[in-house]
Amino acid sequence: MPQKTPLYDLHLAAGSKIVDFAGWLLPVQYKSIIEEHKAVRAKAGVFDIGHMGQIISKDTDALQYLTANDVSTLDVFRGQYSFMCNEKGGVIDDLIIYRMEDSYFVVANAVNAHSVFSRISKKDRDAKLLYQEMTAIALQGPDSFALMKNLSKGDLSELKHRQIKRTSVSGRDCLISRSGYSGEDGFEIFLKNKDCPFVWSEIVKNGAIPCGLGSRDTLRIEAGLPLYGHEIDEDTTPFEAGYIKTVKMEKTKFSGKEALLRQQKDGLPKHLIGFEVIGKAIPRQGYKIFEGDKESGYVTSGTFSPCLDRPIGMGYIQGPLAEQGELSVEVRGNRHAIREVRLPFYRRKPL
Amino acid sequence: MDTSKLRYSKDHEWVSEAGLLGVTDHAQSELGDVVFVELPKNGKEIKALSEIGVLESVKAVSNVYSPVSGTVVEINQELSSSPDLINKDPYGKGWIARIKMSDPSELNGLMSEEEYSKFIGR
Repeated sequence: MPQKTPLYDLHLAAGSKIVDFAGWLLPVQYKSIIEEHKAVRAKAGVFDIGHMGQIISKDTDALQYLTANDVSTLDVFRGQYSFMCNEKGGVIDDLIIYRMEDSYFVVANAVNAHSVFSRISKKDRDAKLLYQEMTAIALQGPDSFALMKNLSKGDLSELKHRQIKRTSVSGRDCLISRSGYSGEDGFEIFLKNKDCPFVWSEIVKNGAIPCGLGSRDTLRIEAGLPLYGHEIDEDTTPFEAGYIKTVKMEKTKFSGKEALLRQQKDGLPKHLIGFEVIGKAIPRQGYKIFEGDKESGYVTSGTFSPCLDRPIGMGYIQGPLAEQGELSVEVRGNRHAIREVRLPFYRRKPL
Repeated sequence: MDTSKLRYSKDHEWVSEAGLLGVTDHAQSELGDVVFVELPKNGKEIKALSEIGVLESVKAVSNVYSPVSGTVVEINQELSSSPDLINKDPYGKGWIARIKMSDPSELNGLMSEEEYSKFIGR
């Protein structure tokens, strides 16, 4: 039985196209994915992210063992990107962990929320998964700051990347962090279920365009950000995905450490690249990548980039080294040359 | 284009008596922004219900099937530079190809506009 966020009725009333994503009914687009994408890059867009898992835990030791980054380095009200790894070093989920006054606030992907919570709560009986009370929305784009300044209490200008604070939006209490999944400046707003429809409507009234999962995906691909089930999964390590510094190997013990040590010694069996297609064929997840005539990898994500006006993608190539030979992607039986591009494809202008 | 004079397939293609074909407004709406169109080659022999082209949208790939049998005699080159014509004008400037029909009676096996509207639940 798919679940609904508090904004479901609003999405329906707005005429959006609803899909089941990770067991949640969410809009994939309101009018046009490309229009929504461009609105986020030029002005501001707002996304329903109520499907994501919000977990509270006070157990530092549990989080230090279960995650690969180091939560002890967090100042209060700061967040870090992290990975929960299995014994093979494969990714169970990618997470953002915020240190609050007397607890940690963990944000997990919808598809993994229950397995992440289950691992944490096995070690920390008091851990909580907050779906019954809390939801979230993301405001992204160069106009986000001005928009939030109008609607929220207090000074936001000192809020740094992945810094979080307790404030209110349109009079409703919430947590906001300066973070996001689009490659633009923006805020993720964590608030009570009952306050969400009102706050969403206020943000839209003040100029943000409602955006769906379709543009959320094209934006994050341009920003070179991984999506669980595509660039990362239980058979892929953070190293293979290009996240070397996120893993704190100096930690004495954490889940997956031995396997990751072995990878450091033996070299990576595969590595992630970004690429653009020379021509018009669009790469999609699962399509084969060739080095010369040899099949050597696969596409993890691909789309037509509205900003770069060409097809782009990310994928794995076997081995640790830069490729030998001309790269190509196979689309419907035909090979199309591709050119490796250093991620991200798109970088926003400095604030 | 007078859509009431067209015939419609279960795969959401339309075809005119003159053999012009494209995808319906319902199809383009479901597909979203079309970013790339793979057109058939001129002269290609085609059987009804076989693949004649491909539409790529931001999120998905969709095959286009010819509702009728015959030979491709004209393709809409404008779609190479402006694939969004399929979204903006699916029955007009967004036409995909023209078929010289080998068996015009095949049109009788397709749906009328009224039948197609019922089929898509409108």
